[in-house]
Amino acid sequence: MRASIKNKKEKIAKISDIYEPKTIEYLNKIVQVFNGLNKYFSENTRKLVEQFISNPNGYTDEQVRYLLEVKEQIDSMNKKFQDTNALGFRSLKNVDKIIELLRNQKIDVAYYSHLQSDSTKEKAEIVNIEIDKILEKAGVLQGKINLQKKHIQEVIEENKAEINSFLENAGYRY
Amino acid sequence: MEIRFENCNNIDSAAIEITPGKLNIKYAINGTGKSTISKALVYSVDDRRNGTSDLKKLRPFKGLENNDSLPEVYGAEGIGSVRVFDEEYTNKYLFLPDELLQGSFDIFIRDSEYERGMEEIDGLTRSIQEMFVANAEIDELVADFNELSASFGKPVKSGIHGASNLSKAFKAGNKIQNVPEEIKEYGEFIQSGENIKWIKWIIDGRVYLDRSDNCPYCVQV
Repeated sequence: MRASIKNKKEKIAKISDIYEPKTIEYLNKIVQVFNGLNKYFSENTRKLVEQFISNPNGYTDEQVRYLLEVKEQIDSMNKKFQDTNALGFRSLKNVDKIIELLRNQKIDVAYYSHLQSDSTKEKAEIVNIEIDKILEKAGVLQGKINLQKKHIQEVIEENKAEINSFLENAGYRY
Repeated sequence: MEIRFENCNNIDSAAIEITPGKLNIKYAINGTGKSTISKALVYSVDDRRNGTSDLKKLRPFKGLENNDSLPEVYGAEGIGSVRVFDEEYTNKYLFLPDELLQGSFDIFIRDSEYERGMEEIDGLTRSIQEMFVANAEIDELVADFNELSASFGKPVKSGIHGASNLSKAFKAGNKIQNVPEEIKEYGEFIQSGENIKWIKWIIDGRVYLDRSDNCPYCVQV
C-alpha cells in the first residue's frame, strides 16, 4: 500500500504558514524569561502574565497596558540593582554625596505592586543590607564631621564675639 | 610706661604711653603712623628676643644714605611680648561672613581619621561586588529583567512596538501552547524542545512535497 500524502499536503503547508522559526525563538525565550521571573511577581500579576503568554489568539489593548505597567516596575527595580552593583566600581570622595546617593538606592518592595513576593523581598533585602552597612558607616563619619564643624563654629563665634566686644568697648565702630 | 620712637618710616620722633598687660587702644586719622608705631614696637621686642634686626625695615627713605638716622625704639626693654590687633588681624579673623578661617574643612576635618573612614566606605562599596557574586540569583534576576525589558523593543506612545520581539512572538497568540485544531496531530513536535529545528525542517522539506504524492520521507509504509 502506497502512503499517499495528497490530503496531508495542505496541513503541512499550514504548519509552515503558522509557524516561523524566528517567532518561535522569541516566543520560547520570552516564555522562559517570564517563567524565571514568576516567583518575583505578585500573585495576581503572575496569573495575568500567565494569561498573556498563553493567549490562544492575539493580545488585547488591556493586556498590553497591563504588561507595560509591569515592565515599568521591573525597569525601575532593575535600575536600583544595577546602580548598586555599579557602586562597587566607584570611588566615593565625599561623605555627604555618599549619603545622598545611597538614600535613593534602597528598594522598598511595597512600592512595586506587581513584584510583591517573598522572593523579591528576599533579594531586595540582600541589597538593602549592603547599602545600610555603608550608610551606617557614612552616618558615623558624617556625625563626627558635624561635631567637628560645630566645635570649630563655636570656637570661632566665641572668639569673634569676644574680640568684637573688646574692640567695640574700646571705641571701634563697625 | 613711655615708649619713644626715632626714625621709623616717616616718624622722626614720637612717644606713646602704654599700659602693660592691658589692651591699649591708639586711634588717629589715617597716615598718622599708628601701624608704623605698632610695627616698630613689635620689631624691637622680637629683635631683642630673637637676635634679628627687623626694625631696620622701618628705616626712612631720607635716611638711606645717612647712617645716623637708623630706627630706634626706647623704653620697651621691659616688654616680653606684644600682641597687635591691627587691620591685618581684623581682616583675617573677623568679618568673614561664612567661614572665619578659610579652608577650615580641609585643615581641621579632612584629617587622617576622615580619610580612614572614607577608606572603610570604599571597602564597603567594593564588597558590594562580592555580594552580587555571592548571590547569583540576583544576577539572574537582573539578566531576566534586562531580557524582558529588551523584548519590548523601542518605546512607543502606546502599546508595544510592532517590530519588538514581544509583539512578533505574541501578536497572533501563543500557537505553541495552543496548537490550532486543524494541525493538532503535530502537537508533540510543535511543543517539543526542538520545535524551532523541526519547523525549519518542515519548511525546508516543502520543496519535495510537489514531486510526488508519496511522503518524501517514508515513500513506502
